[in-house]
Amino acid sequence: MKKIIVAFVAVLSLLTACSKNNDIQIDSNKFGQVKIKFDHIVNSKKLVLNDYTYSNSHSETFNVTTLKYFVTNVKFTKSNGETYTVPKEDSYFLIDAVNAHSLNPNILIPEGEYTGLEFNLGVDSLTNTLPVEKRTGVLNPATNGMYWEWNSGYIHFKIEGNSPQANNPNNSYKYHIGLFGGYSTPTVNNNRIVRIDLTKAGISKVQEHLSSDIHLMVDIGKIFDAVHPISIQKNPVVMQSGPHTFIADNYAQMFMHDHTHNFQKIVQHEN
Amino acid sequence: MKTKKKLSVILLIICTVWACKKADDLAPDDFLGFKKPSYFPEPAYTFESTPLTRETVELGRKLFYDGILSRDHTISCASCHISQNAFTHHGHDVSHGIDDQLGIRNSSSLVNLAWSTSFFWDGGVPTLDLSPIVPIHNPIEMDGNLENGLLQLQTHPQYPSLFQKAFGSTAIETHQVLKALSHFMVTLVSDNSKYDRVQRNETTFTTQEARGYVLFQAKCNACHQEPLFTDFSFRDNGLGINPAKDLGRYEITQQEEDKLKFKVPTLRNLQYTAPYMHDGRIYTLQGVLNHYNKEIVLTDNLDPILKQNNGIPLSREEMEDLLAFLLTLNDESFITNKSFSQP
Repeated sequence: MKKIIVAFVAVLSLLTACSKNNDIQIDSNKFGQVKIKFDHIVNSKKLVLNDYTYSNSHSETFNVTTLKYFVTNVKFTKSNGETYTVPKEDSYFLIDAVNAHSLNPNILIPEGEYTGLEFNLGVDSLTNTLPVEKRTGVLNPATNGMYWEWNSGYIHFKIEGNSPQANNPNNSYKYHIGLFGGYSTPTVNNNRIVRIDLTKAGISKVQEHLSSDIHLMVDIGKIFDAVHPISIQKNPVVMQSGPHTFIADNYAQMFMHDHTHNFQKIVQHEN
Repeated sequence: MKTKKKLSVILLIICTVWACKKADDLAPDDFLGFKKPSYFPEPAYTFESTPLTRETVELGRKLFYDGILSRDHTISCASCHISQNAFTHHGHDVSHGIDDQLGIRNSSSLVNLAWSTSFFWDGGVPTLDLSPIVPIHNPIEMDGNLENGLLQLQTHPQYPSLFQKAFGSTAIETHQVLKALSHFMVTLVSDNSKYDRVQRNETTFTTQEARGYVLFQAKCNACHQEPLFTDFSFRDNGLGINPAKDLGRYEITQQEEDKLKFKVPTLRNLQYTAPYMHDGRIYTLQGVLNHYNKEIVLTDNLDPILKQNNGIPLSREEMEDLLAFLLTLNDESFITNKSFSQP
């Protein structure tokens, strides 16, 4: 009997310990880390630049040699509808498949439990009118190949690769999607807001000194097949003309929340 | 006698030294910065974030004349924007850039840029600061890479100290290169043509020029608005499509109504800036008047003013009067200004 009681107490205290651990004290004056992991796949195959071959619904095969896009204006929402908007100047990320460091941006946000993540895919019109001295880091117009010089504006999304169906000397396809709405004359705006519900695969619990890692699967195959099927043979190059708005509609559909790891220790010098 | 001679020699030497010294001393005072002529509107360019100084302008001037930002160091801004031709590429319909490749548009005059509300013939760039990246990166112009260019500047024997003087830091950044170039370019103000001197009541038009001025105000000023001689709008002036199939403003906006529209260029310094039009297809001013007089193509977006009047009908006498007035827009002091030429 005594033994049973001891065991019972032990289990109880263990449970309490567990529940205590989960019952975090939220202090919205304290900031914790969120890490958004952008994990690229093409349909159901991992993205490996250059080497892997993929296909689309037009039965065209292709590889990917370059993949870069801007994620900006990041916002987090709680179940009560409350939102936290990351300060604009800290909210410009260039996701670049060749740069591993760029795939896991870290952001500091107030402690809390967040059920939604929202960001803009592209560079919004306000940012496109910044004076040149504010265009530093990933916004430097001279350094990352994501800026149209002659028709001033950032390239929101860039994918390049090869496909036997691309009917040009290098069998290459290039989709550079820009246009933000225009300075003086209204033009197309290919910025797309992406809203991700975190409730199904794990909400993000943010606590000081710890990291909540939101793991997104980003399906590049959606570029060709999400809303509007895009044929590489018909459109080997899409920049200012061609179905750029269709591709923008497609890239808005690339992101899927896979899971969240909360309360992760922050490894120093992680880069 | 001997002493007198000696004395005069000494005096001469002193005078010479004095003269030299005076010239040296004068130089700093020569720097006028950027000054808005009283009868010009407020400029679009501002100096709030980065004050214009002698150092920023001189650095910009050096960069403007240096090929260091081009792929093989052969092409500078000044290759296609020559000061003696009011910063155009005189005699070239379209310019040749690196490896002698040809572009599709006529090199624009760089003048009174502080007032410009957009840049290039299609207005694709909204600020002067962002403009130099276009030719630097264009594969058929300078084919450079500014990122690479920054490294070259950082290891150059002179540039780090010039950037230090201009911006207070030896780290050379993209925006500093662009600001320096802008600061040099905004000083390229042309306000000393005969037209300007008439505005300032320093002289008067001849009777023929005066008749031309009246004609100008009636027939040209709607687009080539005084005193900058452009309203910075985009218009289709009935040239029709060229072999390069250049659609102008449409290339930027993709709007049907912008097809074949190009920015209205200034008429200042016309005599030095031939050939004319966005593709340099017309070689003389008389040819330009002939175009408006009887060669207008009835394109879809032809400017309503030209459509309504079927071009700009002018008699032979009117053409002569108008030409006489247009030549009063030449500013010789602009094209000979030493502080605009190669340092």
